[in-house]
Order: sequence, then C-alpha cells, then structure tokens
Amino acid sequence: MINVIIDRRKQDGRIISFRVSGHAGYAEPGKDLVCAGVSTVTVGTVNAIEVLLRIELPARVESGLLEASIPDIADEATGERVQLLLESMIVMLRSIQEAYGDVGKFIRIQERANRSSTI
Amino acid sequence: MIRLNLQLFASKKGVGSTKNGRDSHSKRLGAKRADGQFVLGGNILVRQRGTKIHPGNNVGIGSDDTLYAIVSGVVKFERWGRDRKKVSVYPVAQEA
Repeated sequence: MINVIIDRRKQDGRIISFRVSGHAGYAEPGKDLVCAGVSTVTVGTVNAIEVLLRIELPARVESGLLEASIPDIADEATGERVQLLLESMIVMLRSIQEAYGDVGKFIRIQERANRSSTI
Repeated sequence: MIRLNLQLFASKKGVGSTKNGRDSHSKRLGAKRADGQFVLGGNILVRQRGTKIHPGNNVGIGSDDTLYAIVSGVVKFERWGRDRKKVSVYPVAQEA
C-alpha cells in the first residue's frame, strides 16, 4: 500500500510538503502498474517544478519513499505555479486510485492541515 | 533532477518468503563435570551425540552415548590413542 500524505498550511491551504511511501503490491516488481503510475506522477512533478520553474524542492528519494517540502518562494507568481503543479499531481494520484482497484487497497491519499508556515 | 524509477514504489524485487528460519531447541550437550572434580557414582559426566569422548575406567555409557560415573571418585579426561579422548573416574583413596 502506498501512503500519500499531503501537508497543507492551515491558513490558506497551500501545500507545504508531501510524502509518498510504501509499496503498492499491485503486482510483482517490474509489472506493478500502480507503482509505475505513482512514481511517474510524483517524480515527474518534482522534476517539472525544477525544470519549468527553476525551483529545486528539497527532496529525499529512497526505495519506497519520496518526500519533498516546498521552500519559501519570493516570487508570488512562481509560488502559484508550484502550487498548481502540486495540485495537478494530487489529481493524477486520485485518478490512479480510482482507476486501479479498490480505493485504499494499493494507494491511500491523506491531506492534513498543518499549523507550520514554511511559506 | 530526480532520476525516474518506474518501480520506485514496487515491492522489493524477489522478496519472497524464506524457507529457512527453523531451528531445533538446543540440547545443552557437552561435558557436565570438569577434570579433577569429585563425582558420585551415577553422576553424568558428558552429554554427547556419538562417542566424541569414550568411556574410560569406571565410566559407563548410556544408550544415547551419555557418559556417567560408575563409582565415586575424581574425574580424569585423558587422551586415548592418537586422536581420541576418554574420561575415567578414579576412586579417591579412603582416609584411614
């Protein structure tokens, strides 16, 4: 089961960090479609933010783990675009969740309001 | 940039259940009395599988190769031939 935890800032709901961990267990390694989808969406989003917006998210990647936090972004517009890409990541993850099997069996998405304000 | 691994969240490759992980309870084998120790007749001297140590003077051997003292006396572990060992019990001379 892959656990996706999205931390949002309580005041305005902006995403301040996310953590994706666990193993899908949808199929054997090399054939695990859910894992491939989640990997593509999450890593792809982090890379897109770096390439398109020149913002390198502090991230940690290990087998079965990807966690990243969103640093303070001076430019307002860039900050908005980063949020947009992260929100689209969540939409894509939810699509995977709905498309592949029982909800919550292979991937569980949890959003939390967080008091800390990194932005 | 993070290198994309499409199986980043796949279960570990080839991790199957292991067929090992079993063991029998240890049987606490080995010498139960030391060289030079005084023992009573019937005391167990050595627990063993097969005759790692052979019975010597005044020492009996059980059906499971356990060595025990036949008489009271002092335990002596001795060499027997080129590469074998035996254990004997020598009665202590009674004080007059």
